[in-house]
Amino acid sequence: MRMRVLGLAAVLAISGCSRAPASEVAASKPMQLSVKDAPGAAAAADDATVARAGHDYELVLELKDTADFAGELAALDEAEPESFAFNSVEGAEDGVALGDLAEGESLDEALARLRSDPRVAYVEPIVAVHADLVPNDPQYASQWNFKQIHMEQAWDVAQGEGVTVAVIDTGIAYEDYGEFKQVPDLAGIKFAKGYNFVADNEHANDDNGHGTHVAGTIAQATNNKEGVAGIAYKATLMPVKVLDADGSGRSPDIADAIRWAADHGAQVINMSLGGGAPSKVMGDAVAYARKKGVVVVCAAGNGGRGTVEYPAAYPGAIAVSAVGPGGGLAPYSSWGKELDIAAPGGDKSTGETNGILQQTIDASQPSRAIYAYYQGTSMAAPHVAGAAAVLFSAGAKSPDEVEKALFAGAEASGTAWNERTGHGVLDVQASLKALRGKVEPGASPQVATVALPEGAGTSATAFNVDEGFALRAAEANGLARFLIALLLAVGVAASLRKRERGTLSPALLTALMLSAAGLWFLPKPSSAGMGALALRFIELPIPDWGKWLFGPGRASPLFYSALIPLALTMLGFFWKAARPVMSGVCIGFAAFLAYCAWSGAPAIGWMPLRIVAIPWLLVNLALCLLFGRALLRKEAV
Amino acid sequence: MKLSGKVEHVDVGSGAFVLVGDDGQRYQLAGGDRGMKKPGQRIEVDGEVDKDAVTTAMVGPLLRVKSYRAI
Repeated sequence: MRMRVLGLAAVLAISGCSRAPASEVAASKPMQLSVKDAPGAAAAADDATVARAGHDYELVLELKDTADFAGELAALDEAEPESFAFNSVEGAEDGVALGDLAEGESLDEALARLRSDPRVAYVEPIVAVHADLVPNDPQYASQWNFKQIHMEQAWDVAQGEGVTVAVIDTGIAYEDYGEFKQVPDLAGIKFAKGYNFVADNEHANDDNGHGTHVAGTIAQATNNKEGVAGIAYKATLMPVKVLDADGSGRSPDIADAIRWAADHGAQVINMSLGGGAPSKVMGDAVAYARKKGVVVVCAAGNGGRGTVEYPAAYPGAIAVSAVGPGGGLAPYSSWGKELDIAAPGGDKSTGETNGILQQTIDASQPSRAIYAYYQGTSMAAPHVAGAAAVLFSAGAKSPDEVEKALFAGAEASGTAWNERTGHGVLDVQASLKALRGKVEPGASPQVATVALPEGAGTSATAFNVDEGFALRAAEANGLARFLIALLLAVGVAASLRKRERGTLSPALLTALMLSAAGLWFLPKPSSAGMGALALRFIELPIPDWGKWLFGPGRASPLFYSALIPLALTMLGFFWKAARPVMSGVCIGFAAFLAYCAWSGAPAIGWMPLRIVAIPWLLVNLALCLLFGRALLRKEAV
Repeated sequence: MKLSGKVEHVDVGSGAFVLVGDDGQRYQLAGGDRGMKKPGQRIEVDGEVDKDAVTTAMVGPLLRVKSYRAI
C-alpha cells in the first residue's frame, strides 16, 4: 500500500514538474496515472476486480454513493455491455472504476447509455495525459503568433476535430484541378464540398493567394514535418470563393455565400473581407447564419481608423482587430464601437518576420506554393475562427457559448472591453478554461484596467471590481458618460443664481442618463418585435440612435450635434412642464459629445478627426450646455 | 467621376494598390493596367466608386477605373 501511494506521488510529482496545463490534467485524473504509470502499485493489489496495469481503459466512472460499491459494480458489469474494474484497491471505498467498451460500440453510445444508468454518478472518456504539443513543422519557430495565443497548451485539449469551417474568400488551393494544385502543407486536411460564386461551379480554387493563407492559419497540416502549423488542423475546411483574382467581390454574392455555407453544414464562417456601404442583404445573411448556430468571424478592416468595416460591424458577427507581436494594435488595423476581440495579424513595419507566416500560392502562378508573411486584420480573423473551431470540438454547444469563452479568455489577462482590442487579445488556452468553467471572469475580486485610446490624456484608468461584478468597458464607458453628465449638470446649476435655479429632479436625472449613457446594462434583445426595438433604442445614448436609423457604421453628424437639443429647447418654450426633462437631455448630450471628443473615438460622417470632428464636437457641446442652462432657469426662457 | 492623386501600394493581405486622392481619401484601385500600378505615380482617374464592392484589402472604397492618365 505504501509503495502504491509513493508510486502515485512520484507520478504526480513528475507531472507537476511539467508545464501547468499538463499538471492540471494530471491532478484531475490521478486514477489513470496510477494505473498506467505506476504498474507496481496496481500489481500490489491482487483483487480481480481491480484494473489491470498497462491496459488502456476507455472510460472512467464514479458510482453513486452506496454501502456496497463492489456489489454495485458487479451489477453494473452484468447489466451493461461494457466491462468494468475498480481503478484501484481504493475503488471499493470510493467507487471510482474504469471501463472497456464492448465490441463495435462507439464511445458516444457508451457514454450516453451509462450516463442514464441509475448506478452511475458520472462517466467520462479517458483522455490520454501528455505534454503540450510542440509541432514538428520545421518553420513552426517563426509562428510567434501561435505562442501569443497559447496554442501549444490549447492543442493539448482539442484541435478542431469534427468542426467545419467555411473560408469565404478568394478560394483555397485545396485540389488538383486544371491549372490549380493543392499546396503541399494542406495535404491530409479534410475538405467539405465548397462553391465558387465567381465562376459558378464547385471548384473554389484560389487565384489570388489570400484565401489559401487564411485557410492555412485555420488548418494548415500540423505536426507533419512540413512547413508551418495551423490552429484547428483536425477541422474540415469548406472553400467558398466569392472574391476574384484581384481580391474583390460584391455584397449580394457574399450574402449568398454566407447562407450557402450555413445551409451546408459550416459551424464557423471566416470572412477576411470587408468594405462598401452597409447592405441589408448581407446583414440579414449574417443574422441568418448566427441563428442557425454558426459562429461568424470577420476582419475589422485595414483602414487604420475608428470605423469597423462591414460585414464585421453587423450584429451577430465577431469583429476582429489585429495586433503585432508585442500585443499592441497594429498600425493598419481598424477599430471601433463594434469591435469584439483582437488577434495576431502581424506588423511588418517592424520587420518582415513580424508578419503571419503560412503557406499560400504565388498569385502570378497559382500552381506554385510559397511560404509568405502576410499582415492584416485578414490574418487576425482566422486565428479567432480557428479558435472557435477548437472550442466547438472541446464541447461548446452554441455560437453564444463559443463567443462567451472567446471573450472571457481574452479578458483573462485583465483587460476590459475597449475600442482598440475589444475584449482583449485572443487566448485559446484561457478560452478553453473558461469553457470548462474553470475561469469565471469577474468571479473573484480583481482590478480591470480599461485601455484608453491613445492621446486621451491619462494612460489608463483602473476600476476596482467587486466580487461577482465584472465591469466591462461598455459599462465603464456608460458610467463615465453618466458621471460627466452629472458633473456638468451640477456645474450648470451652480452657474445660475439661486433664485433662478431649477432642481436636479429625478426626471432631469433620468433624461440625463438616457441621453448621455443609455440603459447599457439592459440585456441585449435576441428577438424581433416592437419591445426589442424599443429596447435597442433605450440601451443606447440618444446621440447613438442614428445607428438604428442609418446603420451601425459611422456616427451621423446630425445626431452628434446640438440639433436634437435645439429642437427640444424650442419645444421647451411652449411646454413648461417638460423643461426639466429637456434640460437633462441637453446636458446629457453635452456629456456625450465631451466624452467623444475626449476619447478621440468617433468616426463622424467623413469628417477628418482632428481638423473638423473635434471642433464640431466642442462647438456643439457648448451649445448643448447653453440650451440646458436656459431650460434649467426657472424664469422666462 | 474624375479623381486625381498619388498611387501607393499597401502591404496588407496579398497587397493592394490605392489612390490617395487629393481630397485625402484612400481608394482601392480596381481595373487599370500595370502602367497605372506604379507606387509614387500621380494620376488622374476616370472611374466610379463601387459601393457594393467588398475586398480582402479593406483599405477604402473600391474605385473602378475606366481610364487614367499620368499627370
